[in-house]
Amino acid sequence: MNILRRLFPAMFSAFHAKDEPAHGDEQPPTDSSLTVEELQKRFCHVHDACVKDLQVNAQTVTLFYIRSLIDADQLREGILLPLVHGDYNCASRAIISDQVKPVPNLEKAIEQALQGAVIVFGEGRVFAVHIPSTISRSIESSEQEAIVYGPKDSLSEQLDHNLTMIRRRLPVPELKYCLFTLGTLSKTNVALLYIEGIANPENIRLAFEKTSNIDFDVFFDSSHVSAFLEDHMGSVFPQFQQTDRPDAVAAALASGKIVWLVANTPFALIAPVTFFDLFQSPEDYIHRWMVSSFLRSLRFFAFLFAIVLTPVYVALTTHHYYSMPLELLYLLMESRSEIPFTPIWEAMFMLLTLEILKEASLRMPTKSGQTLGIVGGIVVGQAAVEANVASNILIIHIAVSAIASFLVPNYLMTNSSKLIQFALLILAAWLGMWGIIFGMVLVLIHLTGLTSLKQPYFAPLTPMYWRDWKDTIVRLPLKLMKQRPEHLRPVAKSRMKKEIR
Amino acid sequence: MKSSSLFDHDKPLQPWMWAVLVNRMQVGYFMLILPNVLVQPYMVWIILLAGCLALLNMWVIGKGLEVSYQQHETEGWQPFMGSVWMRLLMVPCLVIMLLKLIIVVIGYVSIVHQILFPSVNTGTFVVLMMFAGYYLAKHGMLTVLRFGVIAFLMSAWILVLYGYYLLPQEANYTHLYPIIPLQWPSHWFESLLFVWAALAGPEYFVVLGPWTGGKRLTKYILTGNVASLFEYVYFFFVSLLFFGSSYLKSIDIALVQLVRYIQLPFFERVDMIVVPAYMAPIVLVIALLMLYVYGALRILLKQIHKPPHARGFFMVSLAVVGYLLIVDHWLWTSETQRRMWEQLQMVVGGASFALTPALFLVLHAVQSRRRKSEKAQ
Repeated sequence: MNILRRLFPAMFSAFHAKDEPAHGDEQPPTDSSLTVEELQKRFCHVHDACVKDLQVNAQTVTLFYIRSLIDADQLREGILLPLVHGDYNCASRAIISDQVKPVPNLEKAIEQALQGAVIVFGEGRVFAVHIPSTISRSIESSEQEAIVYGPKDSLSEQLDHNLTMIRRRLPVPELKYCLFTLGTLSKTNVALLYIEGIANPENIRLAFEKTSNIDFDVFFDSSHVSAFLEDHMGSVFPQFQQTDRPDAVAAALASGKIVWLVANTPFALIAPVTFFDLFQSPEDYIHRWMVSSFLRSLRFFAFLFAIVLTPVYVALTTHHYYSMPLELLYLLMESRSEIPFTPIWEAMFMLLTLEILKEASLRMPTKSGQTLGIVGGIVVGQAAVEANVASNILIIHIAVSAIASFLVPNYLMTNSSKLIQFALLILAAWLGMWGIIFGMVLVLIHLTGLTSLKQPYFAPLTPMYWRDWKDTIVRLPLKLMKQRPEHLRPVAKSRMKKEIR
Repeated sequence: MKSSSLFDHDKPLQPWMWAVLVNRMQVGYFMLILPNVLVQPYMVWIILLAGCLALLNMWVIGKGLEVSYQQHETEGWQPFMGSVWMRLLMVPCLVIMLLKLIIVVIGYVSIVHQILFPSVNTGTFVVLMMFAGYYLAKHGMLTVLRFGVIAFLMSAWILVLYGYYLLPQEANYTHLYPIIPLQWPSHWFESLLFVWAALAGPEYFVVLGPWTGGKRLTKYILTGNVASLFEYVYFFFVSLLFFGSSYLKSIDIALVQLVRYIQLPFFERVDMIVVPAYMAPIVLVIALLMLYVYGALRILLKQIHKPPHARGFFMVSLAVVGYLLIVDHWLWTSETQRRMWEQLQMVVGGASFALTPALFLVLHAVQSRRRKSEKAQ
């Protein structure tokens, strides 16, 4: 393109004159304080703020930019070379970019410069050319939601790249995209996506209202944004699904959900979500439906198992030892005979040790992590039993519940279950099985009252939506899922072509 | 919690959920102690008779709900809310509701105390149950009503568990003799009243019109009652077939004792799970009654035209907990006192079940007539 421009400058000039009047030609009246000197003053002691003077057609054109925020190649190819070697009367026409915007005042110039624009002063006009640096990692596989079969790409920190990946999956004009800039300091771009004609207008209105009302200084991650969007601050359950899989984002949009993409973070936010959504994996739709149904049911069972297994051990050994068959009781008594602690302290100690090990393995370098696994699994586990700090049976309980907790695809939900497990542990030590069920009732009450973007979190159970059970604990064949989830109250209920449009 | 969300009714409840709610309201503490009162096989006819009479009452409640919705839409009750008569009416209502709370909470807690934790003070369980009820109620009426599904799922599976006792190896079908009474049964009226009082509870729904969305719910309410009737008959037969009439008379809380005979390969005391599982419907009833008590107090104290207040609800809940602790500590300490409370609830609960829906319709008729005459003038 650049070579063509150099070879046929007249043609390009004519093209610009005809199609791109916004290239600085229609310059609004500029603020008198908008000068290079003023900009330099505002950016004093900012050593990567650069000023470059160029002689173009016997006139001086001054460029102002922050070196670390712009793409040096684009600056050279798209701005410097055309300005110096091009044959133009107007500097704005020489520049090869579709991101040329007039700058009305000093504040706007500062804002644009900080977003990766080159501020061009020349011919009595000021305009900004956006050439932001596109430093990013390449498209990689998702580490958090890894699957064996299916698409391998994942979202990255680049908002535009993420949008491209989603648009490629949903190439329809109904996919709407609205941009917000959040954070008085971070100026984070947040994109709100939904499909018009599918997503419920009330949900869209609420999403807009909540997003535009956010007022904070910095947003470095989508979790920071979700903290301002969530309905219930005092809940351990995540009220937004966070995913870095573009296929999961596209599927959510297609079912009538709303998505937030936050710049500089690979995790998109999806709402409204339900408790049951957080147990779904994109791989569920790749397996045969019977296999998927089995795996999904297993996840729910594993979640329950992970939170109640250790508390049940404590309840049985503390209060209800007489409810075990004699053979089991002998085994347990033998295992616990030389342990000087009560079951609650024994379990608490081992669970905390496990959590410390898990947390440490996350923070340590990968190679050291393996060593930590050996130290944790063999040394601590075996040594604890040999030193009569914990019983063999408790170690088995804790190991099984720890493994079971990882069956839940959503990492945030896995972490939430830990807190519930500790609460149930205390109740089990106090009031045995009654205490555990009391705790479970409280959790169920909490879930019944919880909402995500004002939609019931425990749907399709409370309120009950019978049709949505096709894709909740089991996953029926896709051919049977002709309608979108009822609990999302989509505008177009049917997934079939004729009824959508 | 937004204080105004306590009685929000922007989303109506799905019609079939009313069937679930009716069913769970009728299956509570009284059902657990039912086999102690009904011990003869022919007493099944008393259950069926009470159930059929309850069906008629349910029909009236269904109509009452429709009226309640109309009154809500036309704001028909609004002028009467602050009137002396309405406030006076709230006094017996409060007494009935507080009595029901005593029976439900302390009755259940005494079973937990007796079966699971004789060493733990009953007051602890009263406080915990009331906390769960308060926690549910503070989410608002809509959440309380939605919780009916959870209460159902957490306790309805117990039906399947007792199916084991219907199998011939465990069940002695000769215990069903005589299913036709050879002579007129003694204490039949008391037994009938007991079953009638046990089926009480759905009359509280009569004022929940705003949560119906104007749908006709009579068939769902009737379905819920039929399901309860089935459960009563089922549990009656199960306990009778296993224990027999003569032994059934001598044991307390037969249904809970019965489940102790089930021995799983890894767990031999299933009652440790069954008794706690009954907590969910009890918490549902507590939450509903607490909201009602708060609502009645607001009318009584002329606060009905102000929005409900979270702190006010908390204070009322605290007062109710205190009241229950007093009853538990001083007025429900012996078997005799327990019988006294049960007898009292049998009469008061039975009367409120019979009269509340009818009274509601009468009030509506009077109010409609007055409005018509006002329009004519």
